[in-house]
Amino acid sequence: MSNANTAHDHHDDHDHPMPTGFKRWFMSTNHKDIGTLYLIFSLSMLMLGGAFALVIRAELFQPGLQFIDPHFFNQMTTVHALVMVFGAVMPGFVGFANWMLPLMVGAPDMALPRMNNWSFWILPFAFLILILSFFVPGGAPASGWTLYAPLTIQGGMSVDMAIVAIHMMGISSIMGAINVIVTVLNMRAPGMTLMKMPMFVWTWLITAFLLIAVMPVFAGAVTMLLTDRHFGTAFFNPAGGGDPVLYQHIFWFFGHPEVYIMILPAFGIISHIIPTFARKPLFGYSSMVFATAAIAFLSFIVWAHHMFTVGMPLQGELFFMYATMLISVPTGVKVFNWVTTMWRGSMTFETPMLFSIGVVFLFTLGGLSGLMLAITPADFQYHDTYFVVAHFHYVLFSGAVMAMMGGAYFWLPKWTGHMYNEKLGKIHFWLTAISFNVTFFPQHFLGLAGMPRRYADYNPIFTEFNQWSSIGAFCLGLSQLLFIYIIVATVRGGKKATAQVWDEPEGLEWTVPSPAPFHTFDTPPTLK
Amino acid sequence: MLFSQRGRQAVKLSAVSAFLLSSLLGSLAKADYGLNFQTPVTGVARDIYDLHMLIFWICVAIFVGVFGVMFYSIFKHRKSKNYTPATFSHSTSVEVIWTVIPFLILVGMAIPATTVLIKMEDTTKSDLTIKITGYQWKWGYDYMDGSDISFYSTLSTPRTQIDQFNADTATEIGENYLLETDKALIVPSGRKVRALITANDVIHAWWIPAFGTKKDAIPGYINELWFNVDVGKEGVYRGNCAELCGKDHAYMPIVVQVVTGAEFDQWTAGGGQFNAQGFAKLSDSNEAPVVKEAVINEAVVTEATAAAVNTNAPVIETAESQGSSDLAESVVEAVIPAAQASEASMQDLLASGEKVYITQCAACHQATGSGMPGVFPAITASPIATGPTEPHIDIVLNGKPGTTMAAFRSRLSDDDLAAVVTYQRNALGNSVGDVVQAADVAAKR
Amino acid sequence: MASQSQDHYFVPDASIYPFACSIALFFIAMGGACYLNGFAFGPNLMMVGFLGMGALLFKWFGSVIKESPEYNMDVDKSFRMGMLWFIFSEVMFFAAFFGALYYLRNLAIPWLAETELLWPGFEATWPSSGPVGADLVVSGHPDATAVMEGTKYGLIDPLHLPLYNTLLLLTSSVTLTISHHALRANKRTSAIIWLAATVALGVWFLYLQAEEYIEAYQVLGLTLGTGVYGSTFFLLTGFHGFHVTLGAFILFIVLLRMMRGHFSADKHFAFEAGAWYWHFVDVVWVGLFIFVYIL
Ligand code: HEA
Ligand code: HEA
Ligand code: HEC
Ligand code: CUA
Ligand SMILES: [Cu+2]
Repeated sequence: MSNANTAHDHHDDHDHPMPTGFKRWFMSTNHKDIGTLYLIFSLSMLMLGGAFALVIRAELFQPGLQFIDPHFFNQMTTVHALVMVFGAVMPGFVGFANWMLPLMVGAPDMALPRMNNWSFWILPFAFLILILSFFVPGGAPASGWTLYAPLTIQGGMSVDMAIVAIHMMGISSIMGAINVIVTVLNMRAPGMTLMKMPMFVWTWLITAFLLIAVMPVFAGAVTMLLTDRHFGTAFFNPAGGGDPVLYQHIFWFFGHPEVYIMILPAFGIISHIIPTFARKPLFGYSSMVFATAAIAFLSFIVWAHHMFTVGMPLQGELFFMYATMLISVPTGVKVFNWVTTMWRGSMTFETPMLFSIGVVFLFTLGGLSGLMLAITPADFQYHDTYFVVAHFHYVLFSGAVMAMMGGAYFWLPKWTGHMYNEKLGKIHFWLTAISFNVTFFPQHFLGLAGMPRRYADYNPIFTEFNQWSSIGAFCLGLSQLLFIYIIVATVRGGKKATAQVWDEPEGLEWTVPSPAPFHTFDTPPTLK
Repeated sequence: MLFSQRGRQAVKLSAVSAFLLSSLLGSLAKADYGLNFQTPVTGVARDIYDLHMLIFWICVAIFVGVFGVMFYSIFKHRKSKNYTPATFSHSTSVEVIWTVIPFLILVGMAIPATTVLIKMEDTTKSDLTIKITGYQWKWGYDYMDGSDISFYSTLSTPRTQIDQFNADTATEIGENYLLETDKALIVPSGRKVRALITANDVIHAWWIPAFGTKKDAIPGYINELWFNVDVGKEGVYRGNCAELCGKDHAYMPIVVQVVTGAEFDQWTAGGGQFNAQGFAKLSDSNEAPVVKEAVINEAVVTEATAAAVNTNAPVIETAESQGSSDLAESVVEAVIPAAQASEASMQDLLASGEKVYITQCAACHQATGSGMPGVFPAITASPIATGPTEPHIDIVLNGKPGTTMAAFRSRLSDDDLAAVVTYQRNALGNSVGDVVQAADVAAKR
Repeated sequence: MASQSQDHYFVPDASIYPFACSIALFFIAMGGACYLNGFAFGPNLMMVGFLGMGALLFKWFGSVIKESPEYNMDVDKSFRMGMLWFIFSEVMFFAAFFGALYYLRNLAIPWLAETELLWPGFEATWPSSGPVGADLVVSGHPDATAVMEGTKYGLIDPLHLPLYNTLLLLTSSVTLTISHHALRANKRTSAIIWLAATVALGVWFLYLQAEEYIEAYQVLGLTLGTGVYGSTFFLLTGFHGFHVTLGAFILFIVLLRMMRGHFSADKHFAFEAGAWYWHFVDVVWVGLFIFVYIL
């Protein structure tokens, strides 16, 4: 394996000097630089989306309207979610994929490097359009991130801007996903069979498949929206024989796999961290792979659990209830495997491990509330209340986002060559975990007691929990400033990291020096 | 390097989780309003409640089980205790076990869930049918079984409570803030009420937590739900619109007053009168003075048939003209002679126009007529409201398809329409000076 | 991967095209949104975007062609896989519209017909333009005044232009395959002729489809606004037509390159990618012919 170190030394026959300045950052064909761009973009979007969330939480601190009118509130909710989902979480994982996949499979770069760069650069422009929509008459889209017709048919120019922005994000994701699949399938080092691939590679392979399968469907949905708005078609208009619910079906056919797109790579990341800090191989590797595939398969046949109240035929409701419940089984397999990986390990609790334990614990909490949502008769009560909001922030923030934070601490030494400040990292974890729970745990109660979501205003009985939630949100936001500080400090300096960084971690990425040189694996490594 | 801290951290982690768990359990044990579902008052709601508690406890048990193991491991199997790692990495038998057991648990949950669901969806054998229509942003109720009662229900919380932007003008928030309406839906206890739910513009959802009902109101389609409130649980129940429907989504609550069967019969026999609080007025029907209101109400009933969907297609206008609102016209025509007999004065029109404006139009065009730039046009200095009367009457009568501006032709009487148009032209900063009479409106229908 | 060969996997140098193309895409998207909302500069903005994108892609592909001798088999394989997955994404895009067609026709229309209370007298038939849409004339030409008033519409006769179009596309797949075989056998002239024939058939298809649209709009009164039937009909056939245009364009470029002497008997990825795309477009058409025109 150690030939990897020398690999980059005698690649000089190839004229790839490390570019600088504009050429390096805007014209890159290097997976590491593009990965860095993605990660920076994702972090900025987390800030932006978080800032919108704080506007929501500020308005919800008390009943009555104190700061913003309901129309602007709806814009905040919509753009918060779009920015978080398409700007923070998805690009974040693509950033990890870019950095780590070639390192993990022993490839010199992503398979299609220029397309890789294009995938990235579309994103800032797509979000520019989305943000510009605040400044057109009527403001940004205000129909929720789901953009349900007919509400979006009423909307103004901003809806069209959101639609074209979504088309761009879709193009970006599809190209990114094609790149991942091709890299994984075509560029693995000799000897790395599919069932020897690291878990992160596996989860991303499956995620990429999901992306290619559902992003075009979403594009189709918003295209119909566009033609209904401007060209007189009647897809969602009953007068012409259409059905508003059709939009929901198409949207959620995309939307449900989308939520697994946002969690599977997270599963991959923590499947690397937990074995490293338990000093024990990942338990049940092959069942992990099959569970991931099973989740992906099931994700295509559960979409209508978001639509139990639209009045589907009974058989439909039953089918979607059963199918949804089934997803708990493979997900449970994953949880049990992680716990068993820890079992009788020799654990230490550095920041990445803390985040991973936090993810397993809190994601499961969110998963179990998801299971409650799947029970159709009960969902009639939970639906469109804060119980749902609590559910998906548990799986999204404490699942996806916290897994990315853990991954960032885990690989930061590899990326920068410096150790981060462990003490600050731990403080960051505890601040995040606690304030996260203060923010979102009370929302379960709010939802059960009857507070609907997407409400700018509420009855005073809900005040107390909302205040907890708002206070928590601001603390959560502030804690992330510490995260940024830690990252910046680590990039600028700190204790030198070794190639291995941790105690005998597994994987090719730990065989290259820290920081990983600009070019790695020009000649493929051989697996033992 | 931070070995000494690790113990403390683990304690903290478990303390936090213990805290969370115990607060959850403790609060649910109390099961007060504000922490768990509202106290159910129908059989179905009770079933849902029980189902909810059942799956909740199963989830708690799983959670405690799984994380009991994990935290045990975290405490015992740590490097700081010099625990040497085991090397095992797979076991087919445990994988099978923890696939099969969860599956069986799920089957155990699915059985009661299926039973309840089948019961919920059975809307047959109802005693009473009510049609519920969602509008931006109010609810319309039509009693179907011949009683012909029909009315709208709008938020009655005063604007001064809602607008807390400026402490000087704001008033204190009341107990039923945002959960009060000008008229309640009146239903009997002990009878199976079936509701047909639809919408006129965008999707809404009709939700009463205590009844265990929530269904989307979808333009152009009809959904059904039913409830049967227990005898002895008469009273007032409140709910919300539960599907994002635009700006005032949070401001279209639902209030239901449950009365006994006898009271209900008396109420319907009396033509469905309301008292000042918006609840059923159970007095002798002969004394009911509000002929005009009754007429408005009847005009509304016919909307069941008109029900043009105010979304985007130009085709919709054909529906409006296809004579499905004949009934509405004939009902309205019956009162026109009375209106024509005495031309209303500007003062009268302005006075009643203001009322109509505040209840019907201010949600969008704002109480001051300023509108919201880019979303709802201002009435103040609006070219339509200050131009010729024809287009002005036209837009109010027919709305503008594809926008939130709804057609008010079947929602308001000629008198009210004339009043509100006159009001818009001569108040809110406008002073065109002309007067629109009910006859002018009738002529444009 | 065991097949990884000894020589380098080609990693291209820094390139400005991706970034520049993103800017062009931004212009197209913004221009489109502005155009739809009545801003006069919208179309211009879009035009700038399209021209820029065209020029950039031309240069970009040019550089790929220039580099191609340096590509080893792995790079070639990456391109192939990339193309296949791209086609898969296109399949899913069409799936959304076919799904919509299924839903509207088999679920939404019957439900609307059951909703007596809102749509009295509406009956579930297909084609349908919905409860307040225009009446259907079984087929052929309805009387002209009704069309002018938009109260009636007719249907495209599937056994007329659509059938010709089906034959055209199927034939074009055959000619394309012949051309491919010829190329592999190094019979260059024959390959060029058959490829040219393929492109010509594609253009002919487009010409007939344009004629069909004109007939639909001007004679039959069948438009995008003809309820769900018009919506699904035009969006499905329209997006298909758009893909035919793209496919024909790709094959045309391949043809030009072939005439310039590019491609060898065993290395001609661009040809194959274009061919796959063309076959995909063909298969979609067969689906359209069955589900949109005939059934
Ligand atoms: C990362 C994202 C993510 C993930 C992973 C999930 C996971 C799940 N979700 Fe969630 N969900 C969302 C994101 C996500 N969700 C979002 C964003 C929404 C709202 C969208 C919107 O409306 O805006 C939503 C909404 C949503 C709804 C609709 C609610 C409503 O609007 O009425 C439902 C209903 O069924 C649901 C169910 C589930 C289920 C069953 C899972 C399962 O996958 C969970 C499985 C996990 C476990 C069950 C825990 C671990 C398992 C064990 C420890 C094994 C033992 C367990 C048993 C045997 C029970 N989700
Ligand atoms: C990955 C996805 C993701 C993430 C990470 C988050 C994160 C957060 N979300 Fe989000 N949320 C969604 C996805 C996500 N959300 C979705 C899909 C919806 C549904 C929308 C809909 O209904 O359509 C939603 C809806 C939603 C609601 C319901 C709104 C409503 O129904 O009207 C609320 C309310 O509390 C909320 C709050 C928060 C908070 C407090 C955070 C916090 O975790 C955020 C913490 C981070 C920060 C606060 C940033 C830190 C930075 C700073 C503090 C610096 C400040 C910077 C500047 C001023 C430049 N979210
Ligand atoms: C649900 C929101 C809503 C309500 C309620 C509403 N309107 Fe409107 N109204 C609109 C919108 C949106 C427009 C702009 C339509 C357009 O795009 O031209 C509008 C336009 C108008 C205009 C034309 C203004 C102009 O200059 O273009 C008039 C006049 C008007 N409404 C009167 C009324 C009256 C009278 C009522 C009450 C009886 C009313 N509206 C209730 C949303 C509403
Ligand atoms: Cu009506 Cu929300
Ligand atoms: Cu889902």
